[in-house]
Parts: sequence; structure tokens; C-alpha cells
Amino acid sequence: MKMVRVLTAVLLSLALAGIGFAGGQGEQASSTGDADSGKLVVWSFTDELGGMLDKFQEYYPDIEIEFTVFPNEDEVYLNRINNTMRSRSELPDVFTGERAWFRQMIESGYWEPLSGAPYNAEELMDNLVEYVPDLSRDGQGRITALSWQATPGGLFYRRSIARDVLGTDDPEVVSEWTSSLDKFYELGEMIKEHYSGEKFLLSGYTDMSEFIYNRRTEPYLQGDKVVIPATLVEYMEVAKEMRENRIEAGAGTWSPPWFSSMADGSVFAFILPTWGLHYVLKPNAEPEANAGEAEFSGDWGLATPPASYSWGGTWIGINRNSKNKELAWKLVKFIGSNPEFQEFWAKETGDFVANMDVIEKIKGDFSEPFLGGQNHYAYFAEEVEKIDVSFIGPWDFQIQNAWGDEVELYANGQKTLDEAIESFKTAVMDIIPNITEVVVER
Amino acid sequence: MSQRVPAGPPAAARFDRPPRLGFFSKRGNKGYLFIAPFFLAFLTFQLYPIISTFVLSLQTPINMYENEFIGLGNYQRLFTTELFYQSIGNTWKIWLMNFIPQVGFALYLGVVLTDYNIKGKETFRTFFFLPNLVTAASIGVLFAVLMDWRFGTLNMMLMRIGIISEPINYLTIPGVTQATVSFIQWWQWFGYTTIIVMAGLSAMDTELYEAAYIDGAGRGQVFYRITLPLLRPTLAYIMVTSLIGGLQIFDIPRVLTNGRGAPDNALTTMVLYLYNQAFRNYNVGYAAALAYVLFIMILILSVLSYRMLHYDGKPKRGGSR
Repeated sequence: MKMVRVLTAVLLSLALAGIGFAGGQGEQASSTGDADSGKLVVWSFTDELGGMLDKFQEYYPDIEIEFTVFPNEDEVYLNRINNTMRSRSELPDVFTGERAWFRQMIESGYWEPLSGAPYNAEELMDNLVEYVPDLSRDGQGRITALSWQATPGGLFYRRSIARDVLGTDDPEVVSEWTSSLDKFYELGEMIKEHYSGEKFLLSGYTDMSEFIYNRRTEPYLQGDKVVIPATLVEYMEVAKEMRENRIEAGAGTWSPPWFSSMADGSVFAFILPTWGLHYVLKPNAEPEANAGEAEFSGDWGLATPPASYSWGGTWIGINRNSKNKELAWKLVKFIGSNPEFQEFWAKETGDFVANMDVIEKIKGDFSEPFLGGQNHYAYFAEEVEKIDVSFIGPWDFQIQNAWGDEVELYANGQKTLDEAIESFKTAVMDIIPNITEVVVER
Repeated sequence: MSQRVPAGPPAAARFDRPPRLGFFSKRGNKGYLFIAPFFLAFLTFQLYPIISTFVLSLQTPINMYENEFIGLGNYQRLFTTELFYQSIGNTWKIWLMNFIPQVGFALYLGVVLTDYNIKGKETFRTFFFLPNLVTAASIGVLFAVLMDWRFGTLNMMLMRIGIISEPINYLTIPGVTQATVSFIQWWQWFGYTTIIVMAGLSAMDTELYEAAYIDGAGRGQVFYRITLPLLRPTLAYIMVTSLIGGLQIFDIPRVLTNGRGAPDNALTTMVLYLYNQAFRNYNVGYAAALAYVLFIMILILSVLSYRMLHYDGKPKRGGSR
């Protein structure tokens, strides 16, 4: 009897403690009725958002913002969002998601749908790069998030190598060589020959994966089947040829040797999108110049990749359980569409924004010293119109990772093509348990 | 059975006290207050998760937000999935390849450092223990860089010396990656094990050794007949702790392969499989089932090892020792 009573007491106190916590949160979240004041809790995986929030507060000084960054190394951010949402927490009010994995968040309904009243996000569509809000549409076709950026892809090359091998560094001429996969490969052989194997076309064949994964028209997941298009099998073949013929340097994207090959001049091209220029290539290829301690060499150029693609991007949406949705919408709308803000942001950072009016207005003004004065904005403004995202689905990230693992084993000669495809099928069946078949078109 | 006269008013009333005070005001009950913190922590942080993990293991996700009940479906899937058995195999292989040389080394170093009067043996002990202080994550990154095929130190060295002419892509060969993880584990833990062995050795009665040497026993005989049998409890302890740690190996395979268990799942250990299912494929229910199977496996193995620890070679005569 005594034990029972003690247990009851313990459980009761636990329950009370629970109520206490819940109460605390509730108080924090509820705001005053006034639409332009209150407090918003914002979570993100990049600190990039910080500068935007400062700008937002210039416009809305009465809105207090509590901003927390959880870097997504080891999926820390993603796990935190998942656990928070599963516990039905009303905080954070606003949080960001990355394209590689946010489709799953959208289909789970983490973000409040914004198409209908009181948000009416559809009205913004006329002024935005279409694919940006489109990619956030849920199963019922409603927009759930916006982004400040559009992320079309490019190909950045070393002008000095182009001059040595092609006799010119003109982006027009170089683009003729880089815009088809066959000629691109041929160029690789020319580079290898010219420098007798000391320099390479690419740091690693994996750099091609983003445009390869964009070269398709259908989603991978079709009903209860996963269908892999023939272009991915082609990729396996090209990867193997490149590795065997030493056209690429053998570094995986994001590996330490990959970063160092940006600076040492041994690699001709890096296939990166808008953000890749400012956040990846510049700081790693010429760190001193990027920090303002030296002049940019201008040894880089921007040319057309073998296929148009878009890669990455950060979207921002409202927690479906938030108590502060009206206020949160002010922030999301500001970052995702406000032309004054986006113009400021583009000029401040050089990042490519999502508001078309802004793009049109400013695209003529850019001359990037890192690219030898080339106007990357005008190039991306053209590329952004070619972006198709209709084939993007929730499991792309996992499927492409599994495919990439097998490409590596095939390229290194550990497996035959058939073995690699078989292992891929097994891997996908384990990742998505409810499918009945994995079809690889060849 | 006899009827009794009521024994008067209850104890509390007899002393003119207020009739009922709190449960804890009774002297005999105060003890509960003192043990309550443990039980509170145990209930919240252990028992509740254990139960809720089990409940979770009976569910499958509709999406990341909601789950539905599917009974034992996750367990059924688990026992029919090849990768599950492969992950058990990988875990054991990696553990055994690390444990056997580790104990061998520890025994050798322990005996040498205790038996012989080596100058500066404290320094040796410290050196051997040092790798244990480095976090697994940084060791994983270090080895990933050392073993990188085009730019790694290992290939550069071997090619300079002339042992190989072409760089070898080590991290795409399943056996090599497993051996690498075992090697890292061995390097990290043999110092720790050596110290435990030395503790066990120094606790032994020196009279036994003296008697043995007087009777004309050689060093080998002393080691096999006296040191090893007396060290058995220590070795059993090492084995149980190493086994529990080894079955949970996760960090180095994860860092070395960027969490993919590549190549060809050679580094997909049980816990890495669990982690990837829960946090990369978002199948939390399935991962919970995996956790339960792992839990039961470790439980059984621990009980077996515990028995070994208390087995003294003779039939039990009752009573515990």
C-alpha cells in the first residue's frame, strides 16, 4: 500500500511538472492582439538568416525576435525539428528547411499552408521566380514556405587553364566545350594531355551529380515503385571512364582534398550553383582576397554546365502549431518577397534572390572581381528560367545517396554494373519499406 | 480466532497529536524521501523511455508527424532483412578483430610492466592510455584524411618507398575499412585494458609466486598456472565491458564513412543501422524495434558473461561467493 502511495505521489508530481512546463511555453507564445508587435521565435540551420532578421527589425521595430542557429552537422537541426514537431510544440514560430530534405517536412505538414486566407501567398506568385514557391507546395497544391533565394547552377572554370588548352578564356567559347557532356569529356582529355596528367577537368566526378540528378522528367517514386532513369546509369559509366582515364582528381565533393583543390590550381572546373560562388568557391579558392586582405586574381570564369540544374536553397515557413501565425507571416513574407529587402540583400551579399522584379532591376549592375569582372547575375537570371522542379520528391536525398555509393564502387572497379544496380535496389527497399519494386531503366 | 476487546484509541490519538500528518512525517517513512531522487530520475529517464520505445516499436510512420499501430510488423521486417543480419555480423567482426589483439597486448604489456623493473613505467602507462582521451570523432576524421586515396599520407608514403605504384582506394574495400575500424578501436583501448590488467596483477598475492619459484616453476608455468587463472575475474570484467561497448560501436564507422556505412554496408554496425533508420530514413518505429533486439542481445550476453565471471571451475555447493 505504502509503495502504491509513494508511486502515486511520484507520478503526480511528474504530471504536475509537465503541466508547469507546458504552461510556461503557452505564456511565452501567446502575444498581444496588436499585429505589429510581439515576439517571434526563429530557428535555422544557417546563421545567414541573422542579417535578414536585423533588416526585418528595422521595418518592424516592435517585433522582438529570438533567433537560434542549430548547425545541421550530423543532422542535429533536422532531429531537433523532428522531435519538436512530433511533440506538437508551438515553438519555434518560424523555422527554415533545406531543399535536400524539406520535401519530407512539407508532406508531413510541418509548415502552415499559406495559399489561402489570411496569408494569400498566391498573390505574390506574379513577382517571384516561379519554381521557388512551387517547390514548397504540399499534397494539396498549397504553398507552405518561401525563400529569399533562387539557386540556378553554373560551372566555374580557371581562365588560365582555358587559355592554355583552348587558346582563349572567353566564357562564350568555353561554354561551347562545357555545355555538352561529350565535349566536356573531350575537354578533359585535352587538359590531361596538355599538362601530362598534372591537372584535371574536375576535382571529382561527384561534382557532376547535381546536374545529372536534374536531368530527368519524372519523380523517382511513382506509386509504389521507384524508377531510376537511364541518365543515372549513364552517369555511372561516365564516372568510371573519368576515374580510369584520370580525367578527374578523385576527390569527393565536400572532402578536404576537394576544398584544397580549389586553391592549388590543379582543377579546371567546379560545378556549383549561385551560393557556391560566394559561400564555397571564393572563400576556399582565394581566402585572403575574400577576407579583403588581397586583390582577387580574376582567374575564374562562369560558363554553362552540360545541363541546367538548380541545387540547394533554404526555405522559410511557419510552424503549423504556432500561436503567432499572423506575426510569423509578416516575417516570412518580408524575407521571401519584399523587393526592398531583397535588393538590399543582393547588393550586400551578391546572392541571387527570388523576386523577379528585383532581378530584372539589378542584373545589369554586377561585375564580379573574382570572375574577372564577369556578370554572374545576368547569367543566373537566364538560367533560372530553365529550372524545372516537377520531378522533385520526398525521398530524393536518400535515393541519390544510395545511388552515389554504388557509383563509387563501380567507378573503382569493386563491382560490375549489374552488381552495383542490384545492391542499389536492396538499399532502396530498405530505405523506403512500402515500395514493391525498384526499376532501373537502361 | 478469539474475539478481542478493541485495544483503545489508535497510536496517534493517544499522544494528543493532530490525528493525521503527511505520509513522510512518520519516522519510518522518511527513508522514502531519501531514495526518491533516484526513483524519480529512473522513472523519467530510464523506465519511461524503455516503455515508450517499446510502444514506438509497434508503430510505423504515416509521415514524420504521425505514426500508426502495426503490431509486430517491425520485428517481422527486421528478422527478414538481410542487412540486419549483416549488421550483426559486421559488429561482431569489428569487435573480435579489435578485442583479441587488445587483450593479448594488454596481458603482455601488463605482465612486462609489473614483473620487470622497467624504468619510467608510469610514462609508458600514460603513453598507452593517451589515445583513449581523444574523441572518436576526431580520430575518425584523422584516419579518413590519412587513408584518402589520392591525397592521403598512407598512399603517398607507400608510393615514395616504392611498395605500390598506383594509389589504393582503401575506403572502398570492405575488409580494409572493417580492419581500419578494428585497428582504431584497438589503438584507442589497449592502454585502458593494460591498466586494468595491471591493477588485477598487483592485487595478487606475491607469496604464490615465491612458492612457485621455490618449487622450481619457470616463467611460462607461473604465467599459465598462476597469473592467468587468478586474472580470470579481471579478464571477464574486461570482456563484459568491452562486449557491451563493442556491440554499441557507432562513432568511428559513422565519421569514417560520413554515416553511410559504406562501402557496401561493411561498416553498417547495429547501432549505425539503427541511427540511419531513425534519423535519415525517419522510420522511428523500425529503429525502436532494432533497439529492443539489441537490448535483448546485450542482456543475454551480459548474463552469460556474468555467469562466467562467477564460475569457479567446481560444481556449486550452494551459497554465493
